[in-house]
Amino acid sequence: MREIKFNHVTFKYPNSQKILIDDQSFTLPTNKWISIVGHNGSGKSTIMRLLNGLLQPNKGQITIDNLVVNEQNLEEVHKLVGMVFQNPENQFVGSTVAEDVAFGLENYNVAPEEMPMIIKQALATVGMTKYENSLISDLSGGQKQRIAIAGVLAVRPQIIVLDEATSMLDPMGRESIMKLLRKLHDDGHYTIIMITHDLNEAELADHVLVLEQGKVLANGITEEVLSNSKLLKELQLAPATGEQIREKLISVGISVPDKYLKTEEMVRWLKQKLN
Amino acid sequence: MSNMVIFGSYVPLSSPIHRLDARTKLILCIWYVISVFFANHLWPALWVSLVLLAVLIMSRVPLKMYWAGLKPFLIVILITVCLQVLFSSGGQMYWHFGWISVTSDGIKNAFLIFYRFTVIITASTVLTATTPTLQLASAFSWLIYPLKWLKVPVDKISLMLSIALRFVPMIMADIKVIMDAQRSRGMDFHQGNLITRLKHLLPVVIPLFVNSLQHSEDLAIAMEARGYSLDRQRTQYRQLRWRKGDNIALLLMLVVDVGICILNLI
Repeated sequence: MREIKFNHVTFKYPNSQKILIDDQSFTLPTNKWISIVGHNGSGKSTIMRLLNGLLQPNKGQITIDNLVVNEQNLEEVHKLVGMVFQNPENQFVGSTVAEDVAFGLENYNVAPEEMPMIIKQALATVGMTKYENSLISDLSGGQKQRIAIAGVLAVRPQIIVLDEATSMLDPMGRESIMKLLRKLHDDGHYTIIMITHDLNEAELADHVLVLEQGKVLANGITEEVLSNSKLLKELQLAPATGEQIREKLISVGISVPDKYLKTEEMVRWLKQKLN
Repeated sequence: MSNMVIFGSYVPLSSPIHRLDARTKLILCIWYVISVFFANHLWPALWVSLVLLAVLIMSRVPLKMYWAGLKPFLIVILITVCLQVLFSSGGQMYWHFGWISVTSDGIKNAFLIFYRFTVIITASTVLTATTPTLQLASAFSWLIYPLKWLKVPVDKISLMLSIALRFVPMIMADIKVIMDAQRSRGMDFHQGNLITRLKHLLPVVIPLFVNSLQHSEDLAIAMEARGYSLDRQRTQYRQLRWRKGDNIALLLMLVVDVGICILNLI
């Protein structure tokens, strides 16, 4: 897979005047970790639902390589683009972990005798093997999201979209999901697209897309986009911790590198300075 | 494990009841419910209740969990029982005031209703507590399969049923959260007469309705994103398997019915 392309895409719901995505064209790289940031109502979730084929654009075209996302290709598109949603409670069909992971496989007519192995592999990837027969209602929020990711991985997608999938989790749950995403990213088989408000999460990505009122304001490599502090301030997005430290150090007259430092890089730089 | 079994909750344990095929359990549950209506006297009713108690014990689900599951229905059962006691006629009259009276037949009918409601709800809870919802849906789909010839969308109905069952615990949890939120703002659900109490429930019902709509919309989107389509054929992860134990269970139910017939004659 080489690229995800939005070509003059416009979307509004029927019977609504509000245009949610307004004639937008952009390209996203594949096999990368991409963050999509923006305010509530900026069109982040709409963009991803268009990519998954859950919504169809009023104008324009979305392509994943040569595959056009439209109603004729929906099965292929759903298979290619897996989605994990915000509220872990509202995305499960099965009552046990194995049953729920199997739901996608059942939908794609996978033979029942092949399913146990695929389910085991998916659960092993997300570190939830021992919960195979547990009730989903007995799991924590972070564990539920990992099961949701396992359900997506089971159908072997190439793109995994997480729609604010960590926003309802406690810090531990959030960290476990971020670690898992890092692992999946390092595997190199997936394009991970994460919708988030949190720039601490966004800066972990390779690529960032900024949306506001249905328009793409920035689209590029993470350091380039997140160093545009003027844009982020206009959008009232709180900078990531590393950038906040950098701004504080500058304000008290300490000389810091004149480039965007991710939080981890800032910690390394400070450690070096203190040594 | 959750500390409460409510209708729709599955409790994953290993017991002879859990091991039965979902179809057997569904047939037995329906059969048992019908049998309950033929146990109209003390001894057959006691016999039917003892059989249920044996099944509860065999299911290995703690009895206090079944009790916790029955509790939410008790208020409805008790209201029905009271109406039956006060508004039934026939038999010896013990007390009356205008058109309200307490009679021997009224009391007998009230006991009968109490017993029927209790065992039927408990038997249904055994079914849902020992059978995963998707298996239950498959069994239901199998049971109503002949309706396919009449163009009834059997698979869709069964999936709808399984999702509805899964939503029950979620809705119960929502009710608790909404009621706690209203209580924290000074609402007293136990104050006033019946009409006032019902009015107090309105601020619970409206957000509950809105939440339920949100849950169902989110789930529908998630299902579609995971490849579910109304028009597509699906395979099934859990294959239903009929074993020797299922034949034995059905035979035992026949014995229960013979017992009811004999005890009805005493």
